[in-house]
Amino acid sequence: MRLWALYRRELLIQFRSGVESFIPIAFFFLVVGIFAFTLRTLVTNDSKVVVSVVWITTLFTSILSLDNLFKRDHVDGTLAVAVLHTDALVSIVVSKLLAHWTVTGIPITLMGPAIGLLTGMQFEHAIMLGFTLLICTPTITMLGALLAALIVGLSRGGELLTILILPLYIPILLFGIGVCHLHIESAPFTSELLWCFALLSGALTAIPLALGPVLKLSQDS
Amino acid sequence: MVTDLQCQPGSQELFKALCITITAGGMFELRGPNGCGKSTLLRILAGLQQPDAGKVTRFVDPVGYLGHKFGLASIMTVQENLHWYSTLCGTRLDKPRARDLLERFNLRTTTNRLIQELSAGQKRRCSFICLLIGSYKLWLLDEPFSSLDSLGEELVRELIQEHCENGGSAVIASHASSRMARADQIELGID
Repeated sequence: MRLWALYRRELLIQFRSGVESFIPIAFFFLVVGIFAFTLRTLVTNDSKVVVSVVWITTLFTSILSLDNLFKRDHVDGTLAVAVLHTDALVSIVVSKLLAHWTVTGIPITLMGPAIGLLTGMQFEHAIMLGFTLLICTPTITMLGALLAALIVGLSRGGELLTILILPLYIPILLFGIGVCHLHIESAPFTSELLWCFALLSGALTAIPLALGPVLKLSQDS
Repeated sequence: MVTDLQCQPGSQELFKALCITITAGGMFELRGPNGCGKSTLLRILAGLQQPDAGKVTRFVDPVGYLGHKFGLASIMTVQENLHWYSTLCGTRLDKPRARDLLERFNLRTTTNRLIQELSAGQKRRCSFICLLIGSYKLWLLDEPFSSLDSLGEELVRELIQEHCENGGSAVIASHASSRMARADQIELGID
């Protein structure tokens, strides 16, 4: 009940922020669109290229949106209030992650395969692209949130976030793209897919619990 | 309870070997010039900052902290903020209680307005309503009278007095006198 109320509040904040919340999705759409349609004329078997472009743009979109995840609350002082309520902190953090994923992860999961289909990708390949995005975008959100929480008090945190987070995203990128590429080549991809699930379950288990103490630490500056 | 607290950000020592015991019903006023460490001490007491040495033992959790920032989401309405506090604290906020609180703080007409549309004084009043909703035992108030008009100041004084009479405690940081009659004074920035 508490989680649902907090989640609704976070969603409301995201929607009230208007353009600010939807810029990352517009960025994703534009970048993937530009890449997909321009590269199509150069590459013969372009499904793999489209998959890679969708995946890389997903990471950049995530970075663009994560900078704001805790910043607004830090500026208005609600983050300090939240960290003082240790019993509610996990619910607050989970609701924030869920709302962020709802606003960025779900649209990306839907738009990625749609753009793939528009560029001539086979239906089952597009479905696999959507499936990998579905299981990896929550991991991307959670991992990014952990770093965003660490640097929330820093004035030029956005730039630092980009530099710190990209190397951490490499395993997700490799396994996510790997599954799609192997599927396109009709090669076995179970091991890569299991790695995607392993990263997701690891992140789901550890990050919501770790975020509370990290946010508390970030207040001490 | 605060034991042997020390805080030295950089080369400047703010306080050293500071010991305070805040009991139920206790009211403390932290006094001193700007930069003497009043806000830092409050943040340490709240648990938002770690001291360089010493120990803070809290027997109540959570504490009600009102800092320089209002602790209100700017793109949410007054009512939505109040509900967020009640969700956070696990307390029930029914309509009559919300109405009474808003009435008391003269914010009845602003219920559905966004926080960013309110004046600083109205935001401060709204922060106090949130403190009341939280039913915190210990209030840590950093310059609680700033931005308030004389009526607001009087109301807040009354509120703190009431809170301490009902077994709560309060620590107030103020660069000027808070004119709280029964508050114990702690002077910072004096060797």
